[in-house]
Amino acid sequence: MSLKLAPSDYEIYIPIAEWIEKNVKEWLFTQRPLFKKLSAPIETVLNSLDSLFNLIPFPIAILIFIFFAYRTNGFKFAGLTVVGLVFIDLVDLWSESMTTLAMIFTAVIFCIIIGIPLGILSSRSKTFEIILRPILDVMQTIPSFVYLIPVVMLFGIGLTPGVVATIIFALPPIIRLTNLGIRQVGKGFKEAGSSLGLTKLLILIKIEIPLAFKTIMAGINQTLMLALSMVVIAALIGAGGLGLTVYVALGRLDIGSAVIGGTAIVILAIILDRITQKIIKA
Amino acid sequence: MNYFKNLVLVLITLTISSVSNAAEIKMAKANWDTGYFQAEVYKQALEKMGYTVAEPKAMKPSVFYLAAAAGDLDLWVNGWFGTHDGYIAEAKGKVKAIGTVMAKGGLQGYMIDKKTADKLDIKSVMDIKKHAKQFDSDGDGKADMVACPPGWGCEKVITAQFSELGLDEFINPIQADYSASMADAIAKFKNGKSVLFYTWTPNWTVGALELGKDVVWIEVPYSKTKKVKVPNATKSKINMGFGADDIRAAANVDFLKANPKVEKMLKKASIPLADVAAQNMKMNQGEKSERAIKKHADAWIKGNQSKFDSWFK
Repeated sequence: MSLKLAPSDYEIYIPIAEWIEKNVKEWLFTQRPLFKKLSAPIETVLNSLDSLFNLIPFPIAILIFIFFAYRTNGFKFAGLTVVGLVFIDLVDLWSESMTTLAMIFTAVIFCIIIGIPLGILSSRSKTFEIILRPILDVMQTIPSFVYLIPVVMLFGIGLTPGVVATIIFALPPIIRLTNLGIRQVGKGFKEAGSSLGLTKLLILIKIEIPLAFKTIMAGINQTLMLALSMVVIAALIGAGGLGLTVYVALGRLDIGSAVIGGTAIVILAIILDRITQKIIKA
Repeated sequence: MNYFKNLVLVLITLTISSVSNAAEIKMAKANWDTGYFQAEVYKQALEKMGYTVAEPKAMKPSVFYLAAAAGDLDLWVNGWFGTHDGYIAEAKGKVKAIGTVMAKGGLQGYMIDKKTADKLDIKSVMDIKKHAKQFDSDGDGKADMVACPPGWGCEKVITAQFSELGLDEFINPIQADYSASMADAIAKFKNGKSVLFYTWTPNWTVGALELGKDVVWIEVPYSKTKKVKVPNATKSKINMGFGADDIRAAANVDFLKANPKVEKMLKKASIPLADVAAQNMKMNQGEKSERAIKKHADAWIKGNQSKFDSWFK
């Protein structure tokens, strides 16, 4: 029929998949108590944000949004924000949107807590950067479906594991841009600092971070947008919110719910993006 | 001018390719891999009849029945009837079930771990009401149950059961991908927690949990189904909440009209339940790659050659 040239034509096969299945899978199952403890802080922040956002009465939430939208983008954008949010409420997706918002905020908070120190470290040490870079490359390119099931085995299903998967996906840009921002601070500024007798820590806090602030904010903006794009995928492992609306609609081929769910995600994305973009430029 | 030339060329190519594809069958298979084996056997049967069959794409029932009604797909052999009756009705006469791959091949129901069942004397899903906290992991006081993902036929049945029996009051059906929810349930079980889940057999995803020893079927007193004798249940006769399904082929009606030979073959063909169960066991032991499943199908055809050949007579 055809030439037999590939090793697999001769039944040569490396059973890596079987090995992982046999050994790693069992190990993953037993590690659950440890990882549950690790994700406890995420769960606490997430649950409090979720109940807080869902507790805030609609008019007050609108006022808060108007405040930020007006301060950053002016009158017109504040008006559009109100229209968008009222639309979300009119299609009965307000509570889902608040849950999604809580998920994204939690993910971004933890990305900042983890990412900025790692970014500073890699701006300080070349070796650290060299080690970290391929890891970040993998995190950014590996399809999220690959780590979804291990995440379930370790953290269970629900909102918290959804946030864990989101953090893995959204973390790289903030590390990269913090690193970049600090490396871009001119030597002159640092020399001026040390000539004034500032310690290394003070130079970092008083000079480098403020000068790198815009770049770091750009990282946060990217992290935020990546977190939003994980919303639907996280629904596969039981994270609720707008992602679930879209996922359920997809499963049932319910185009109507898919469209309103998708639109609500887009509205949130535009509002959050514009507000953080303006902070970068300000 | 050039634009029209190109357009004509494209049209000609399309016509030629559609003519030359006349003998190609667009087959699908289920996105639960216990159904891959029979899909492979039937694919080889169609090929033996002289058709070209592209590698079947895996999909969920809702997508298959929609695509088959539109004529984008010709058939699959992973229909579960009655569970999929609703989809046939929605297809408005464009898709029909045909033949029987495995009669009464599909068992479905609710399971819990045997340890909890024995300890708390849980025999029926209604008994969970008193012990909902035992199965609760998100702290809302309701038991969490691995249910059907949206888009599977069983989702509709479970929804009907929940509203008829008032299960919503004390059970939370988890809406997530089935394998993800099951991975969670297995992890919970391995860490000594109680688990409650919907499942079906033959199904190797439950493989990590041994039927009758680790987990047992519980009763679902649903009005549309009756008590039957089932092994590995909390009682010798229980109401499973689901009728035993016939696994059947489902095909586009126009396709069958154009290919009566295929209709004849589908009516004759069948695979014994025990053979599928044996193949599913092998998948459970790790032989679950596409390559391995092809080998299982080849071996089955070879071992049942005269039966296989009789499908075409």
